[in-house]
Amino acid sequence: MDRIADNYFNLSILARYYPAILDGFRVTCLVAALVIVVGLALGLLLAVVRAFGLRAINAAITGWIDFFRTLPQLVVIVIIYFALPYAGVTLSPFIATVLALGAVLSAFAAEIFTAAIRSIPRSQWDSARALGLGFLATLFLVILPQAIRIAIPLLTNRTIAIIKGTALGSAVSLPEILGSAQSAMAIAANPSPLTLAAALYLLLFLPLVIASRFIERRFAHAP
Amino acid sequence: MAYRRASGLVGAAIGLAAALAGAAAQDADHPPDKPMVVGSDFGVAPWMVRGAGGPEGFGVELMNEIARRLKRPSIEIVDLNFSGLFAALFAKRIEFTANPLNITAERAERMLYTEPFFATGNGFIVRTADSMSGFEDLKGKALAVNRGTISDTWATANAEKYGFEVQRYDNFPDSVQAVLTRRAFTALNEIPTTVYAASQNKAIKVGFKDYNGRNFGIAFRPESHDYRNQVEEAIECMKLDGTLARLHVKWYGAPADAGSSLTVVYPGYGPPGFKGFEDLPHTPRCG
Repeated sequence: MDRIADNYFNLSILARYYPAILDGFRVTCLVAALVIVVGLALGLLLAVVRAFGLRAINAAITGWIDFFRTLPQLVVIVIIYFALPYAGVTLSPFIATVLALGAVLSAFAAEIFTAAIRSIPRSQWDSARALGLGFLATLFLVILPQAIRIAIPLLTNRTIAIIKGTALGSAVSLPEILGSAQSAMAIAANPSPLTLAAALYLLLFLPLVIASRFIERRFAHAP
Repeated sequence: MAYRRASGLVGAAIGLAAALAGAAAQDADHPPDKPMVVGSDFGVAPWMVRGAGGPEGFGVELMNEIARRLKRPSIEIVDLNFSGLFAALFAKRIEFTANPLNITAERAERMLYTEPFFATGNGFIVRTADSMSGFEDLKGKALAVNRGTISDTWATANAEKYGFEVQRYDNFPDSVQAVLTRRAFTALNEIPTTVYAASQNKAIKVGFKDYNGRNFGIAFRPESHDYRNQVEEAIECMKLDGTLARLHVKWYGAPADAGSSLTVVYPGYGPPGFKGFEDLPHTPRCG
């Protein structure tokens, strides 16, 4: 038992390295928040534009969605970080990670929103138009409120899965939780910082998971 | 020779499991009739790089030679990111480290080192067009390191003093890539590693070398005391019979400096001046 305590719960090591890991925690929280905002907003925008049914634009949107749904998140991050500079675009690790994960989340969110919009019965469109609502009014006042409600359980799961990818930012020197913990772990030759990192991930994601369940329930019971 | 890839996280997780399961008998951790399992980052040319038939380099030949002298039937080198190396060691996924690994006081607190056998220091890679003449040139610039290495430690400790920003990457090639893409002014690593990298790529050069008395050693789990002494004797024999000097010429293209730890046999076991050193005069049994 002593070896476990010494290797995984070593307080003197933790005392020395927790400030760096807490800094990493802040970075992870910020990246996660921005990825959610960027990804969901862009995903909704893409789904709404798609609903207009313009063939050329829809082909481009489908291309975007398929591209980012296909590539592993780490590949997207590395391409944005290491390949774009050769095209003259140099982004910071922070921006590169947010954009990469935001793009991936937008692809999945767009697909989910689209499916939700299409699941609303055709009769809803017809009834709204018969009442004299225009296309935009029908879409935003009748269809989207119902579609978003349907999309939410799928979205929360997908969102949580993707923002866990913030840990991949360590590959492009983003000083997030995992990167800081690995750095400390190697310098101190002791894996205790990893225990702290795991605890912080729980601290971040447990409320998210609980909040997502709450949101799902709330929207499920809404009138 | 077999090799496989494992991540540090997996190593750490399995380490927890292994520790919970309880420690097996010591000898079982390095069974004489099984392949000798060691771990290293495969991105540190010319110490250890991926070749057509598996890893190759100075470290590979060194490890093979140790295995031969310990009469082990074969050797397996596990590819580990540096940041996962110690977790894998404590998890008993490897018997000892095969990386170019610095001996430091902090690490010596938790691991047993062999005596030093390779002199090193800070090597700063910059783009060929740039120049660097000292630490003052780092002011206001970004410095890339391989996460968790001694370079990371040095950079973390000196970032404020010299006014530079530290970027940490998972391996050495990525930190060089950061210099090539102008994300960082310089990539810091061990002198031998940087010299070799610069010899292979015209776009970069070693801007500044800071020999600071550091040395590489091999690290063991604290309980592998007898085994450490056994491996240390093998290394002493390789110093005495010129094997190490020959390998240095072969892989680094030049003989080591006279009186460097590559040829000097230290009395006792372990690194003099660090924890884990045993003042036991002995004559290595070279067989």
